Amino acid sequence: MESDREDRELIERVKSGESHCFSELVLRYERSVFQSVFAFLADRQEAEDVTQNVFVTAFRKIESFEYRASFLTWLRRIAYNQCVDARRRSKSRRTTAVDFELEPQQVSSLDSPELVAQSNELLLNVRSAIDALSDEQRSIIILRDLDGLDYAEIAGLLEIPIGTVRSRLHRARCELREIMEKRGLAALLNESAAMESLKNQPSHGRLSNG
Amino acid sequence: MDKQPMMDFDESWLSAYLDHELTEEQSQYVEELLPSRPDLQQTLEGLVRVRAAIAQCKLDVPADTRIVRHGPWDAPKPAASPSQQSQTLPKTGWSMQSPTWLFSLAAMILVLATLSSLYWLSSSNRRDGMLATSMEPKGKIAMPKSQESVRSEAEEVRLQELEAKPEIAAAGNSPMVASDFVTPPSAMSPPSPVPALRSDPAEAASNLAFRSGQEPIQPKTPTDDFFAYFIQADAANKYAIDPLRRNQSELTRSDEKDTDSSLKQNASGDYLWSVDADSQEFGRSTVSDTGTAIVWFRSMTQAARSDTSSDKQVAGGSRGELADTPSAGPLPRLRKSAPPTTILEIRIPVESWSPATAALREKGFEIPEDFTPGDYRFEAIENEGDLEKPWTVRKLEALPPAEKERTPAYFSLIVIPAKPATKSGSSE
Repeated sequence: MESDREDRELIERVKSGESHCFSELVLRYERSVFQSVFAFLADRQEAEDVTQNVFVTAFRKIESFEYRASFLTWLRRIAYNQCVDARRRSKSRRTTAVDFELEPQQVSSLDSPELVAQSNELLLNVRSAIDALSDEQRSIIILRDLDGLDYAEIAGLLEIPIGTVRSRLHRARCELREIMEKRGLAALLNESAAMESLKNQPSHGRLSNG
Repeated sequence: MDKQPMMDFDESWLSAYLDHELTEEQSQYVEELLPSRPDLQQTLEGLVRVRAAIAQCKLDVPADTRIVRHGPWDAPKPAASPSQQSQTLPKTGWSMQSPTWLFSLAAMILVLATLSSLYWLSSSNRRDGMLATSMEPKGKIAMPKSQESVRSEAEEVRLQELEAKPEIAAAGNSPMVASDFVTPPSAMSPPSPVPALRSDPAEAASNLAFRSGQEPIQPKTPTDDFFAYFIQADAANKYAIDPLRRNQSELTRSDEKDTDSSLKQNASGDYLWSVDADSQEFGRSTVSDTGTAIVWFRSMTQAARSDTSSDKQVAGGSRGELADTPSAGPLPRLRKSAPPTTILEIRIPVESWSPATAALREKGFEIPEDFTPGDYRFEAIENEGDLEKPWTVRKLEALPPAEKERTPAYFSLIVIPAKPATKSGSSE
């Protein structure tokens, strides 16, 4: 792929001492990494800090990068590890399961106030439920359903067999469903399915009044 | 239709089916199976809903959003001092959205502010052995994001703890952390409209020259040798990281991530350490990406070191304030005329205590197998001519036990270089 080739060129230049070329790699991937990290940590400030740290770590360790995976996958691996660490460290200070901010842009595409409010509630509840999962389950759900990695990529990143990815992901989804149902959020599951389909329709705004 | 069961079918196939991760044959089998299995249909519907719910949480990040501000890759020369680096940062330009001259001006203001803070500090005799390594809680002083991002999480927890319950700090009965040794921002520096630098020139002067470039580490004083030894810093060790063992793979963690204990070991079972070698911010280190420990270098004065070697404890237990009680803290009072030297603080996450101390033992730390978890102070003594064991790190004493209201996240081991005169003797 072209992007891989360009990445490789940049990485080689960084390795040869042109450190400033790393900034181009940062530009390319910081948003992807941030998305993953935010999904994992659900705390914007912490996610920004971890994202920064991911790139600092990657820069330091770039000599050891040997193109066995894509650069983004490698970054995600570092990010995943740091997220697990960050979660572990911050557990003691978290008094509630919900510790994140709503991102305005997440609901900006929904033009009805009711729908926005509904979406906010849904988001909070879903995030809260995701937060209640174990790190293992949360991470695999994020990698698949938010980051969009396929099973092989997840297997490579987590260094587990693909069959384990499949079973772990399935358990995680079932667990999430169970958590939401226990919390009386079964209706929200239906709403989210409806919303997801609405968001995928170009004319979703037509339902804003009802 | 009479369907022959596939030997390895299980419910997880349904997830894989949704994700298009089954082979054609497997997908066909699922599709044939579903009409006759209401239970599977129900599960599948549930999975669809859950996936849709998760999808709602996807964060849209605008294309022009900048998360990472700058980093060590911006440093034009590896050996540049922090202040020099700040001045040259705009050269890279990639993350700078303001004109270069503006950043040059800002950098100059930063340097001036730092120097004035240092002058203010040196004229004050109200603080202990740490020079101006700011430990501001988030939001109190606007700092560049890159600086915030490399702050120790443990420190942040500690600061929050102290902020939430100042009486803990006042009583000196909370878990000892390095931030305890630092004057709080409000007392450290005069009000300044500009962000405070993390490290000051005094700290940089006693730096072990951890740099992200090609230059070898060059310890500047004999007492620094221990730290160079500790992090295995030499010409071949470009980044001077992973002090105890070097991780040879691209992996930053073991593949067994299911248990907490495995987080501290790589695939070969080695225990890894990491030091923030590239940050050029001498006063602190980032949390290791290996999830092991924080290796934290700090400066203290020669006089303070002398006091410490004789176990004279005068430092305050509360952050940034000298306490009246001699047992309140581990570090001595700052004497402004003495040149800075270095101490090392190793923060070991509670759950990592056993493997971490085992690794330290290999580094010459005289600690028993059943070393009781806690905060301790050590002294590094050079074994001249002993190539097998060039350093002995002797335990001095346990730091005052804290009445911890919460389970501590980590324990701190402070290593202080011995005075040359006491290198071969006991200082205990």
